[in-house]
Amino acid sequence: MHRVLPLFIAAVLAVLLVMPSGAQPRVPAEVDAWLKQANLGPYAPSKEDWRAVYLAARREGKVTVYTSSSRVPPLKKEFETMFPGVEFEAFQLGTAASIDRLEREQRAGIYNADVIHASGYPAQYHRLFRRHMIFAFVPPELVNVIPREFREPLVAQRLEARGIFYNTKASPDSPIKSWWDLTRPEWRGRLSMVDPMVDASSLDFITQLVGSALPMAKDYERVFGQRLRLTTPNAGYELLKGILANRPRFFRRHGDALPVVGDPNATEPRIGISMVFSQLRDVKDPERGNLQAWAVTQLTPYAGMSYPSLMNIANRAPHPNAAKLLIRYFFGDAKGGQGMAPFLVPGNWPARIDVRPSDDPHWIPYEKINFKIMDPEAIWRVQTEVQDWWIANVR
Amino acid sequence: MDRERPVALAAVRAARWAGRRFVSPQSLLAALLLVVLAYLVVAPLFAVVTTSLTWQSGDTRFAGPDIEVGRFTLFHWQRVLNSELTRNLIVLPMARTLTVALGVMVIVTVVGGALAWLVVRTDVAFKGSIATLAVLPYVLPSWTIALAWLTLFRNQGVGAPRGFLEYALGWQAPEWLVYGGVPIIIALGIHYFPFGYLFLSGALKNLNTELEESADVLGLSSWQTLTRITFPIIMPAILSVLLLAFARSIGTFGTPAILGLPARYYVVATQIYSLNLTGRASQAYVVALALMAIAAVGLYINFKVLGTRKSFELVSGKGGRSRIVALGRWRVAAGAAVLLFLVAVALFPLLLLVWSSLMAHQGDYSLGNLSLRHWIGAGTPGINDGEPGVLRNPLNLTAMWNSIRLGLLGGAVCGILGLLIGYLVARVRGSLVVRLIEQVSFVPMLIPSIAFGAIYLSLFARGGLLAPALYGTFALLLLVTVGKQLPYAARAGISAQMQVSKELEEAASVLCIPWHMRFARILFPLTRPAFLAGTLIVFITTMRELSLYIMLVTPRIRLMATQAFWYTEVGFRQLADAFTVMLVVVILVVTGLVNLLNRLSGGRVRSVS
Repeated sequence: MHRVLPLFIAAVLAVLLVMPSGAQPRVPAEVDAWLKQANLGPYAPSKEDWRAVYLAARREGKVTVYTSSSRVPPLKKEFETMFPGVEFEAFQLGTAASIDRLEREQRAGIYNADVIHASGYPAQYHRLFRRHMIFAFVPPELVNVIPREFREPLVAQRLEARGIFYNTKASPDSPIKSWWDLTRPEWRGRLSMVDPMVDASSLDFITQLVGSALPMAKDYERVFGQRLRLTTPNAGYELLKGILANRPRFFRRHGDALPVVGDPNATEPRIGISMVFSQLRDVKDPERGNLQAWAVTQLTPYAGMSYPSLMNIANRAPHPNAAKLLIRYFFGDAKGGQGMAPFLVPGNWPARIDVRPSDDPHWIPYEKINFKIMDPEAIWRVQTEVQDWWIANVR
Repeated sequence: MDRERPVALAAVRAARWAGRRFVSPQSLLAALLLVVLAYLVVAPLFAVVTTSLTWQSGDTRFAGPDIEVGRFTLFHWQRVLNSELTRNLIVLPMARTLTVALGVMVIVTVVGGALAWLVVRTDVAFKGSIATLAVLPYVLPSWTIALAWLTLFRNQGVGAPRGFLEYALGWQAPEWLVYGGVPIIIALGIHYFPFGYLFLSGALKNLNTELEESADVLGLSSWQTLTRITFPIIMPAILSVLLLAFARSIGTFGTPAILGLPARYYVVATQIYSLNLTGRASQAYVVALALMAIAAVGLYINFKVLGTRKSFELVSGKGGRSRIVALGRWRVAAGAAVLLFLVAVALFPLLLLVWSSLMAHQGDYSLGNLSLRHWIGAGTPGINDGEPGVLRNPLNLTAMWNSIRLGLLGGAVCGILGLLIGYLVARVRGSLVVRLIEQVSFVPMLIPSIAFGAIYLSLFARGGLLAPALYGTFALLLLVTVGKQLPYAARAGISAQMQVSKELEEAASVLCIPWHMRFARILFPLTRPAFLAGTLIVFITTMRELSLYIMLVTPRIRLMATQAFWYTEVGFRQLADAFTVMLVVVILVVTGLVNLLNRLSGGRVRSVS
């Protein structure tokens, strides 16, 4: 105890010190003028006249969205039917390129995008939001059904999650109970992992593991009945070291790892790390090769990381009213229709709490999984250190 | 207007006079090319260097919030070259990259050279089929070869789903044959040997056999003739092939990602890509610059070798016909063996792709599972989110048109620039300016595509004194294509022009034929095959290129590669495969049409001499 307590206090103090206050640094005058004109930010009305917003949007003529999701471009037809005269223009760029491109454009004084619809919370918060490049907007009538953490400082459409998948053919129930089980020798050569060197979200995922060093250390004691002897800076790194010692196979995308983990002919158990929960909808689909995999839902100290997928309006969006319409459309209706429909799948959980869950047999209620929700501030702070450590230690 | 005209006329006259007096067409050309290259190459390179030496907006994470973005720092260089990261970030990947490059260079030269020799200089059977199939692997996207490799060799022993060999023979390939350096070298070698074939067969075709015949007369054995006459003569082409194989293999990301990552076999391309994606562009640029430095050494060696040899002029004013080696009883056997090899490496991956696109259910290889649903199906709700077959989606046709337009235009511009550069390099060898032009034209090869696209976005986003605002225009896509692909066309141009004897142009010069006429009537027709090869190589590459454009495309100028990316990202495997087959077919058809047009318009230039 005498060793952990000071560390703990220091950690708490550090968190308090750097915790985001939620507010952006002071807004420059010209940005403020734009916000006023676009009725956004502090000037957003407490009640929107959506008819007037639509008419204004029709005068603007279109809406441009940068998105990480392949599920967005096909929404064009429905959106343009619902809002005739407003063209729907979606750029599917992926999270990293969406953020990068918006930032480059804004720096160059090009205002092309209306909405950025992507995850990457830490990067969006620090690189875009704190530099007044994006602004939150929530339809006022929805404020009561969207928890505060999904409205401030940035607006989220839904939660996504990453975690561990196992092969259900070789072991019908989860073969592991703790993260530390993955460091046992029997898993040598049987781990697959989305490569944190290549995939930014997987880097977030392992960073969160390091950020959870204290519960990790406790869990080690519970599992192995002895105190963890550190050979690395903390228990999180120690876990990563153990996983690396089992020589995991790396894959560029979760889509490439799933067929390996869920191989229907597998004779030995297999595990996939940093898998995306929304992949569950592809499992057992004969069209996609009848893969036999499922997510580990109960694991100590936590089963996976959930993270908000954001949608916010860009600074000086050329079509601000159309952008508002699009945000409302993405939130969908109470039945989970409209722009929410493609995201109402197993492994995605809408930010709106009034949306009824999907009737998909693979749907898992959010509460049934012991998730840890992403801490964007901690991730931003320690990510470079974790990445450096990973680069130096991966063999 | 009217008042301006006399002034303009006077200026033109003055310029002409000055031109005739002081400026040779070569120096004018050199000046022109310098400007073009400064625009397309030096500016981006400068951006790479400055980015690596300054704090970037994401760097607050490294150095706290007090850093000033854009301020000079050596931080990134120090982290990459002298820290605990150095070994895994650059030393090891560099060693592996060079190993891979060396292996690929050997395969490309040997396989490409052997095929070229058989097709051009022997009476081997099945010549036509061999010549056609030999180009096919390059038309396939390189990752299809990597995936085909895995489909064959992966097995339960390496913790992967059963591959074909384990399924059919029960044989489990060892890990080093499934993942890592060996399969990467083989897959890339298969993908790029068509380069070797195209370049070397071009050189062999132009080879005047009088020299070889003289060697015969002087009593040299055929081996001696080959090593002492033929090889030295086609050396520039061989060096070009080596350089291209080197540059392509160090820059490719897809294949090492698929075959290397599972064995933690990182190469420089994977490192650059990943650093770029995780907010470490500056470090990525340091790694890229280090790679450029090494490549510059290669270029220097290349130049040294070329520079000390004086006589490569093969297309002279005199006659000469290729001598054909009779293979005798080996004629059919050799042809069959070569054909078998090409079917295995070229046709097999393509057929695998076609088959996969016809599978209603993924991974089920039975005949009953075949269906045209992913090609012409109208889209069934609940299957692939109701997405229609690739031929039923009108967006795919728009994308196809845009890609073809971009590829052909970019290819033509590159081809012309390549010939001009080649002309200068061949005619004014040794001049400092020309040497500079040659080396600068090589640089874009070494700037990773994704970085190249991002740099162009920044340079041309707002517009400025020299760069017009081209954001979101087709022109910008064209510009970035020309910038990035120029090296390949330049290599083709250089090795072609090196073979053209000076005497032809000198003869015309004596007859007072102006330079542009000499170029249009003599040099261009003689080097037309090289122009065409350069154009087509750029075309084919452009059709498949994704990372170069990902930052620059808009929905209005959709490309085939972006559509393919979308299908893959959504996980519509069969649709993605069908679309890739479509891409390959488009490339083959367009390439065929271009060749046909060339032939119809009298493209048989060999008769000039």
